[in-house]
Parts: sequence; C-alpha cells; structure tokens
Amino acid sequence: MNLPTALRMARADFQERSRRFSFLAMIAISLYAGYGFLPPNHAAYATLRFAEHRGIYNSAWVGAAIAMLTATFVSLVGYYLIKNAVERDRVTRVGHILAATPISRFEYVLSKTLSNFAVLGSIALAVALSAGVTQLVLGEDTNLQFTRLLAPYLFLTLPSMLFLAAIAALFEVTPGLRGGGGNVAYFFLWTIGLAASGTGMRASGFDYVGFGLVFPSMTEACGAVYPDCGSGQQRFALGLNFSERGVWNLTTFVWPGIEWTAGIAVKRAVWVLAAIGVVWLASLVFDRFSSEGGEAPGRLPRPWGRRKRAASDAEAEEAPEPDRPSFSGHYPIAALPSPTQRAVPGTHFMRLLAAELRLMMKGASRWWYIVLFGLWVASALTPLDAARRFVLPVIWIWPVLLWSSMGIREIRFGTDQILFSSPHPLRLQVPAVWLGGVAVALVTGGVIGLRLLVTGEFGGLLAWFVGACFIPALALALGVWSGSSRAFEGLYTGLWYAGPLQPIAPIDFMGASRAAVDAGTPLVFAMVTAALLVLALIGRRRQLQN
Amino acid sequence: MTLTIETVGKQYPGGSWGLREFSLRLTPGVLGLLGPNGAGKSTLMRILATITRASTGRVRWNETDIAREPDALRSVLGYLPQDFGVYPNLNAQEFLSYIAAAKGLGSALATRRIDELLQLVNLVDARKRPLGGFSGGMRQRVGIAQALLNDPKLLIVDEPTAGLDPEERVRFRTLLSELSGERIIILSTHIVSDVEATATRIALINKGRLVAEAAPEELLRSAEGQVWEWVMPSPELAAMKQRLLISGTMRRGDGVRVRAVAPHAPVPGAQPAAPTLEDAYLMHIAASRASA
Repeated sequence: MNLPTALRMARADFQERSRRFSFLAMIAISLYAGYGFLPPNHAAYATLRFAEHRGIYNSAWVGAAIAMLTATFVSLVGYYLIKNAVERDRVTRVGHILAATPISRFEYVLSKTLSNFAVLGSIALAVALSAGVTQLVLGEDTNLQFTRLLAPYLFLTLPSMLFLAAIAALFEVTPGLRGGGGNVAYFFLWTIGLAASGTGMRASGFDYVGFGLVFPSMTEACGAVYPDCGSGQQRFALGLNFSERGVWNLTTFVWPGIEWTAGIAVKRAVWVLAAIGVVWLASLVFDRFSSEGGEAPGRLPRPWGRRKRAASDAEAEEAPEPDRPSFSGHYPIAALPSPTQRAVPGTHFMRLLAAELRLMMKGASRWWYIVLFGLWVASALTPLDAARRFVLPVIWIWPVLLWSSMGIREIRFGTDQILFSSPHPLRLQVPAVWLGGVAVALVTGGVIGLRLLVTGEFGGLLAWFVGACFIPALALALGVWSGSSRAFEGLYTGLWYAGPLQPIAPIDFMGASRAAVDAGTPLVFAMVTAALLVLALIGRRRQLQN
Repeated sequence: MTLTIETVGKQYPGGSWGLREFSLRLTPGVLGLLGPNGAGKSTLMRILATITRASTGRVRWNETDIAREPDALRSVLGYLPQDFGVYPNLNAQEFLSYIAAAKGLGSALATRRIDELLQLVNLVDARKRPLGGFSGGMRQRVGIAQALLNDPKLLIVDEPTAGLDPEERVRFRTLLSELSGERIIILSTHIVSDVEATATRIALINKGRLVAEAAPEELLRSAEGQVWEWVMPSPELAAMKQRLLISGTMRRGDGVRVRAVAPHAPVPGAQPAAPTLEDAYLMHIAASRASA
C-alpha cells in the first residue's frame, strides 16, 4: 500500500469539498451548534443532565459534553453530508480516469475515508472551538483550558468520526447501499448501533461514543453533591431534552474531568482499527468503476429492483445498433410532416402530470408492487386504529425512494436544459412533479384513506390527506434546494421515526395517532406544506434564472 | 420571424465575462456559430434557449423580450444542448413522450410525431430499449429527435454532431439544410466542415465578442489573396509554425506541403491558393486575437 498516494488523493478530495459553499454553510451551522449545545440555565432544553443536575460549564465539562454530543449527532447527520465522495467520481467520470491508474482499491477507499474524516473532523473542531467561546460568554467558569477542552475531541470524537468516515465509504462502494436504500438503511443502523453500543459496551468503555469512559466519573462527581444522581442511578440524559415544565432549572456541580491516559487511547484505538477493517472490507467490495454492479454516470439507480439492462457505457458500446438503411435510401427528411396542433390548453398540465407519474413509477420494480399489495391487504384487514398507527407509517416509508428523486432528477440526469427551455417550467412542471408525488401517496395509502372516509373519521382523513401532500412537498423543496436526494432521505426517515412511529404528536405529520389530530398537527403541517411548495417554486425559479 | 440579439453580455460570479456586447439579427436560415473552445458559444446558446439570463443587453423573439416572457419563445423552441442527459430507465419512445408532455404537445400528435422522428433519426428498432444501454451516438440522436418534437421555429443545436459517426453526421447536416426554410437554426460548433455544409450565414466569435458575421461566400472572399502554399524541408516546419499562421500541412516525398494564411507571400516561391472556410476562420480569429 502506498500511503502517500492515498494521502495526496485525500487532500485533493478534501480541497474540492472544502471550496464549496455548502462546506462553509456546514461550518457555520457547526459553529452555531457549539453555542446551542450549551444551553444556559432556565433554557427550554438541556443537552446533558443527570436527573435535575448538570456540571458547571468549565473546560472539562464543555469539552466532554460537546465531544459526546458531536459524536452522537454528527454520526447521523454527518453520514448524509459526506456520502458523496465516490458518487462524485462516478458522476464526473473522474472515476474512469482513476480506474485506469495504478492506484489500488484499498488506497482509493482509504483516500475517500480520509477525505470524509477531514470533513467530519473540521465540523467537530468547529463545534468544539465554538463551545469554548460559549464557555467564556456564559461565564460560569472563565478559565479556558485548551487541553481539557480539546482532549475529549481528540480521544472521543475523532475515532468515532474515522469509523463513520469508513462506514460511509463502505456504503458508497457497496451495490444496493450506495443509493437511497443505503441512506434509509443507515438511519436504522445508527439507531440500533448506538443503542447496542450504549448498553453492551458502555461498561467496558469500548462504546462508540465513549460514554463508558466519562459517565462514571461524572456520575460520581454529581453523586458526591446530590444523592439522587449517585452511582447506579443511571439517570443521565444526553440529547435535546425539552422540559415538561417549560424550562429547566438544573442545579450544578463541579466536574474536574478525567485524566486522558494511554489506557483510554488504547480503548479508543479499537475504533481506529475497526475503521481500517471497514476500509479493507470496502476495498474488497469496490468495483473500481467497472461494469459489474457499477452504475454508469448519469444512470438512474433502480432503488428496489432488478436491472433490466446492460448498465455500463462499456456494455452500451457493445449493444447492437439497429439495422441502418443505406445512406442513399435514407428516410426522406422533407416528408416529415409538421405538427398541425401544438400545445392543447388544459390538457398540457394533465399530460405532464401523467408523464411525471410514469417517470416516477419507473423506479419501482415488480417486487415493489408485490410488497405494496401486501400492505394494502394489511390496511384492509387490520382494525382501523391499528392500521393508522402501524400500517400507514410503513406504507409511507415504502415509496421514499420514489419521492426522493423529486426536484433533483433534471439536474442529476442532465435533462435540465431541455426541460427548463420547455414552456412553463415553473407554472406547470413544478406542480406536476408535486402532484405526481401526491398521487403516489394517495394511491399507496388509499385503502386507509377510504376506510377513514367510510367510517366518517374526518379528522383522521384530513390528517391522512395533509400527510399525502406534505411528504412530496418536503421531497420537492429539499430536492430543489439541496440538489441531492440524501437530504430528504435522511430528514424524512428521521421525522418519520420520531413523528408517526414513536409517535410524537406535534410532528406526527400523517396523523397516525389520534393525539396528533386532537392537537391540531394536521393544520400545522398543511401550512408547512404550503411553505415548502413556495420554497420549491422559489428554488426552481432561482435555477431558471441562473 | 426574427431573433434580435442586442448588446448582450454575460458576467460570471468572480467578474469574468463569458460574453460581451454581442449583437446580431437573425432571420430564417442556418446561422453557423464558429469559435474556438471557450469563446462563449455555449453561453450565448444558453441565453437564447432561456436557460441563462444575460447580464446586459436583451434578446427579442420577434418583438418579445425573452427574459421577460420566456414562454413566448419556449413554445416554438427546439434546443439540443452540448451536454445533456437522459433518464436511463426510460426507453427512447418513453423519453420522447415525456419531453413532448413538457413541451405541451397533444397526446395523439406526440405519438405520431415520435414515430416520425424515431424513423428520421434511425432509432425505430431501438425504440423499446432503455436509454441507459445506448451508445453516445444513439443518445445524441435521441437528443436531436427531442429538439424537433414541437416543429420548432427556432432550433438551437450546440455541437450537435459530437459522437455521431461520419454517416450520421452527413445525415444530420442534410437534415439541417432541409429544415432551414421556414425557421431560424443556430448551429454552434468548432467543426468548420459542419458549418460549411449547412450555414447560410456564419458568425465568428472569440473571447465572448462577435468577430465577424457574413455569408460563407463573403467570408471566403475576405480571405482571397491571403492563402499561400509551398513545399519546404520537413525539419524547418517547426520553426515556420512559430512564425506563420499555418492552416494545413501534407507530407510528400520531397518535403512537406505547407498552407499558410498571410497578407503577403511568406517565402519566395509560395503560390497563392483558393481559400477555404477554415482559412478564413483562422484569419479572422487570429486578427481578433492580435487586436485584443
């Protein structure tokens, strides 16, 4: 293995990414997150607490809390931010050039992993430094100690980020995981993995985030002052915790931090080794942009099903051309009749809508329809409440990859110039794309909608309808503005998990629970849908006026 | 039917200009837009196709400002971009049907028109195959078909023969010539022979500015008496290329036959030659570079 080669490639890749506006935006958001992760007393939310207590904001607490919070949140969000390193090489066809060079698969995957790691490390460092400034601003302890502030970043955050960087590279080179399916699958992997890591490995200190290294000491310091959070109580909460009383009134204690020893470094090195193992595994899977399993640039991934046809340019070259008439006998061009009828008012939109719907459904395979049929049967046979509560959420996660292509297809497949120069790209095309997505939602969830109508559950019916309108509006707006399907796939899956599935009434956008309907959530999401559509129109208008 | 380009300029973020004070008035016929790589051809095409807005000046389709009312042009526009994509899981017929819907063609008309165009571009037998399996030349032919779907009054084709084999290239040139009667066609390319075969007017563009606009015959006349040929020893060719604007060379048994553009006989014994469009193009572009 030639490490300098991988490092040089990683540096170039990172330079390419860091010179984009989106990278600056990420850093800006990270700086804000560093501030937001340290809520002052009497804030509506807390990020790390032990029962009703938290550590005073000194450098040790700030550094450790921020490191754990960053590792937790960035391990979810960061995945969707970085998972385009190999994709970019496919789309730009740089991959074809690289494939013809002597670089090994391991070196290539390692370079992408290191580039991912550099992006994640930059984000985490921005959060940590911002938190240091916040410590001074809040003034609970103005003695800023850089060693105590940044040691957790070094020991806790960076190994986690390296592992995540390798996982993202693995997903990108693995057929079936590189597309939207992988984006959705990662969310569940993150949820399950973090929980498993937390419960199974925390005691040994080998867990992914490093909770087990820090929490015992924090718990002990808290317990020394407040008996209700002593050892064995396990009443800590990490994340965005909103108080039921409106604001938190946390009492504080002093946590001096822990000694970051060689033993801790060894424990964290396990994740570095795991990352190397993942890179090795990915290098075995990586197709080196060859025809088998590789998608030629500009190809629409078939998210759920089989490939019907030769996938690569190489195979395309071998594909037989149709029999060609001799030039002298070519088709008489002058005989090509002119259209006698152009745009037909009224039918133009309906034709466009039908075309958008057909295009969207092209991504669905026979198996996709078979599963949908099963879900329809379940919708019909399950008691209505259970159908709303459990079957509807499953039905409306099933077409996620059809929706996630909305708003980005034109740019991704290079048809934007053709479509944007067609009549009414804003007034007709955008509504047609959205309504195509709404039609998918209405048809897939149709059985439950019909049952709500028949049983006179009009509140539930309204929530169902709003949900059907909201999902494609979210997909369209995020697609137009982000230019990638990952934003929708990540955000929607998270929202779906927290809202309808948990369910948390204020974000249960499809009214899976009666509580959401009673709380007026559908009306809120109706307004959000309208706002998203306006955003989508503004975004598309911006693209048109480029 | 006129397309009027009035002092159009395009400035990119960072301050550089892709197009400056470009003016032209087009009537039915084929305008060949010639220029070196990076001259601003595609920028101009994108502005005319309503994809990009001009930073300065305006473009009028008949009397309508296309920046204010782009749909007035879009309904009669056919555009083949230089670099375009397709939806790889659709077949040729489905893709054209999709674009026809975007262009607002009625269903029956679209079906008939697609049949005709698939025959025209020689893709009838491949109409049911997913576009992902098409070669570059076949995709280009699909692009040509989509540009003609709505029987455009303004047809803009940007490097249309890229990827086509020689036979298809000749077919496409013939097609352009036959289509040109009742419409304005703008053919952007850096392949002089494509323009030579089809254009009724030629515009030369360099560094974002219009260098010359004339009929092919006028351009040829402008280069008369400025093209020279002679035979010289091969080893001296490299030095000669540094000194003169060489438009062609041909190896022979007694050395190399050199063709150059120059106001006077560049070497003793050089014979005047009949200019080609390529000579005229090189002469005007070199002159514009010298004056810049």
